[in-house]
Amino acid sequence: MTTGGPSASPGADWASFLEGLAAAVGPEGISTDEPERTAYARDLWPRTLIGLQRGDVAPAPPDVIVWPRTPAQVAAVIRLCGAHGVPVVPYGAGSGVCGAAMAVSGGVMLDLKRMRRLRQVAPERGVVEAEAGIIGQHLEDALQATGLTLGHFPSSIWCSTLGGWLATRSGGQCSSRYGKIEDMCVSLEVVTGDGEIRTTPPAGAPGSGVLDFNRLFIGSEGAFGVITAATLRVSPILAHRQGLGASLPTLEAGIKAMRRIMQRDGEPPSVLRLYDPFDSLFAGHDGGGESRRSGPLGAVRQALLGPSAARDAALRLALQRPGPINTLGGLARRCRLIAIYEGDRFEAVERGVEGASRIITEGGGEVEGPGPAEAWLAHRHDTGFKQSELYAAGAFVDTLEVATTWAGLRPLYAAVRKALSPYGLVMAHFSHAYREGCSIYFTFIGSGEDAEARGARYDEAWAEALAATAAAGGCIAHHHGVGLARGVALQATQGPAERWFAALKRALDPHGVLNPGKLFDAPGPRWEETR
Amino acid sequence: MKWRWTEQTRRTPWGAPPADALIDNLQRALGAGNVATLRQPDPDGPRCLIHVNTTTVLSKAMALLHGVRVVPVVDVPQGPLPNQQPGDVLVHLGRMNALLHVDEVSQVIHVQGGSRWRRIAYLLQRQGLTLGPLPRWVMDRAVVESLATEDALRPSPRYGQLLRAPLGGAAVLPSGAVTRLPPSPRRATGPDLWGALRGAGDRAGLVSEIYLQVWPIPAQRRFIGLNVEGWPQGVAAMARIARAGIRPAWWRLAETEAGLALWMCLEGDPDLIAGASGQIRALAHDLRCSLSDPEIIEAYDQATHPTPSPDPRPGDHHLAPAAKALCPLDQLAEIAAAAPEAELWSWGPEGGLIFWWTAPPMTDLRRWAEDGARVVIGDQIVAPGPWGALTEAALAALAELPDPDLPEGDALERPLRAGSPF
Repeated sequence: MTTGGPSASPGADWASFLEGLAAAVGPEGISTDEPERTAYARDLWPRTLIGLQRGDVAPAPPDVIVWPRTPAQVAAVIRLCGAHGVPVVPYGAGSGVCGAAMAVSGGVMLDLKRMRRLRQVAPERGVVEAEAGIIGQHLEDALQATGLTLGHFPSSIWCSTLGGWLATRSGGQCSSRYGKIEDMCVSLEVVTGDGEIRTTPPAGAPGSGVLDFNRLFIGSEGAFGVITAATLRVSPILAHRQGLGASLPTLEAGIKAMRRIMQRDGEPPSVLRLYDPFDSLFAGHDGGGESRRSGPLGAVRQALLGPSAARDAALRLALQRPGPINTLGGLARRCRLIAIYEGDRFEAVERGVEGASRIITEGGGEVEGPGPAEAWLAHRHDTGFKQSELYAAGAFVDTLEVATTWAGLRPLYAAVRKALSPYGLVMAHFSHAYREGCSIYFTFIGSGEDAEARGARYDEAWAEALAATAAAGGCIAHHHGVGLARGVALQATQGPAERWFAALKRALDPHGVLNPGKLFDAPGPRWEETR
Repeated sequence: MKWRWTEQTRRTPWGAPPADALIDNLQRALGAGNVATLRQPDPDGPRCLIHVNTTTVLSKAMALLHGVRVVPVVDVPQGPLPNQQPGDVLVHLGRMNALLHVDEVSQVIHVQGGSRWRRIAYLLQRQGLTLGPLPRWVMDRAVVESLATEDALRPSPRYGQLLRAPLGGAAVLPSGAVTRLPPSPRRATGPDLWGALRGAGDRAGLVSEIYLQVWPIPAQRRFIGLNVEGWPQGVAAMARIARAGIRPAWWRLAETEAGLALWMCLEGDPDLIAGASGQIRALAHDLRCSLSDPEIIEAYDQATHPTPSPDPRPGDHHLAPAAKALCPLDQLAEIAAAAPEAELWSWGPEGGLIFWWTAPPMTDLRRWAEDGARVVIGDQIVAPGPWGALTEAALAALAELPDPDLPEGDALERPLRAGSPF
């Protein structure tokens, strides 16, 4: 466990630095206590759970946690960090799954959750302005109380913040209708590395001489500035909703049906999901309800944690050599599809459902009524908090979301599945569908003889999958961000763009203290060994 | 003096010292026919003009041009360019105009950066596809120019803002390095660094290829309009139409012969159009507005969104608005009413986009800019403020960054701006 002195090594200035922090945010707004530094040493990047199996509880502890309450306090902290050369890592709710909020160089962990005010709801302009630390569900609850919705429903909505969504280019379950967070953002309030509080020009502003800073701060994972508030477009809550479930004869038929549904004229469905044959086996009769909640993870977990030691051993062995099971899974054919339409008029919703049903039937599918969609809705935020138990039992599980256009989707699916198959059980669903393409969300479950071997297999699985994605012409991340998990792949796939990143970093973060070691500066997935 | 160009068909013989080593190297790398010099040497003129037709050739050229001022053009210029300096090298992108691929399944096209919108639209139309309604004055602009100046090309509720979020593409950096983004509907791969290209002039790099979304030509088009009492009522009508989820292909709130009117073009599925028309009629009844004559709106549509044709129409770019502004919604009606010849082209949470065919007085434009509007004359932002300063800092940093491929820093120094050769 690494919880010694300040890794940023401010040396003799450390005491005066802490005094400065206390003066900036008040003494109740900082902590150097070891339990808190340990608690903030990781986000939900699954790779760190493998380290946990070796007893590495705090892989990247910050030196001090700071809880500002206002943008002015954030600005004061950043000015101080700049003056002392201390890294500062913005932190929301810590639910990121790529390590973006880990303090690889120590320094200040800037937890924004005390900045959670809803500053303004303006239905007449169709916008809300909220501070970055607000928890997603709280923001949505407040909006719904006024008859509005953001339309952004990531599965982490209970444990993620607005700032985190923006910093990682988050996507929600209703992205087919509302888009991703970057589509909702009108403007941002940010504190740049020089400690200035700035509001970005509105999205879509014309003219030469000013870059599109909204697009540059969104997804910058704290490297260009700390997002302290945002103005977002909101929509009226839609009064009517109707879903359908269906079974398609093949994956190809399912993908084609999704594409045709998204390319129809009129409002798209809010939710459109297709499970590959292997995942559809787990989805069972209710297409994403109770059996899905326990689902593939549940089944493996039950097997691993079950009473039979012999069965445990057999399953671990199977996870270490998953090829035969993946092959068997590949023999399955039928795919589960669910679609959910929403609208302010019943006729519009009905029209959507009828149109989708017709497309599914024309593709040889069978429409099964609303049950599967309703079951999915009821459990859509049941995220896999049980995965740590799987890790403790000697397995690893992770997810990987990639994207491409419709024409490239089937080859991308095949390439990534093939790349992951040697390392674990692989299943996938297709969600976040748009007119021009879709995301594929892979789940893979593997194991290894010991933590060292599991770590190696995990890293190899990621590297192979991302390389396969790039080779197939896909995008290596759809909505989880880059963090530490994808830094090397980002550099490999966008190499020369690193110069743009470096130039912007120099302009926006002149002291180089904002979340160092991330994005194009990331040390890669094996950073634990090299730090 | 009118410039006349001659292609350099003769290379310096091996062993003989070249008259101009750079031109000699360019000839060897690009082929002699792709390097031209002025027939009558002009000491104040450019050093040469080079033609490029692919990303690879452009990359080669940029790698050779380190330390030299480079000016991209899509037309071969026949006279001095604005802000020109002696010895500039002109990179002619006009031959980089291929429609590389049409992915009809995904409804995505892959085009070269030197392509003009008119040509793209024409080729797509022949395949039953469209980019949506493009205003006449942008038709002869090229993709690379539109990106450089962050044009407001297509403020369409139905089709979205063209170039707002390209699906992918390729860009050549000043060093000659090429960065590629495969086409993807959305991504979460860090910041959208292509945002560094939009609005940057062309100082961050040149977009050599781009992927864009296209649509099938709509099954039906219908024109409908409301004659409104004044700007506040017109703006309120736009707000109500937007909130009702109606997405016209284009809409305008502008003075007409019959007074101020909100004109719209609805496109797509006939049933949906019928439903939207009914809602708009109900709104007109609610607001006590009369309906505009659809034939007049259709005539306006044909005049402002011409049917794509393969041939350039040289005069069209003169029809561009003299000024434009993205205004906060609470100031929209007041600003629109303050100066003649205003047209409101969009309404949304980010504000409303006003075009002026005759620029309002500069004092007004500056005041509106100070009050929060993004005001643009030609392509240049009025009072770009701190974000303009940060843009300059970023572009200066880009030019100063050490690059292993470049001994003398970056070559691309001149932005595409108002009055540029485009």
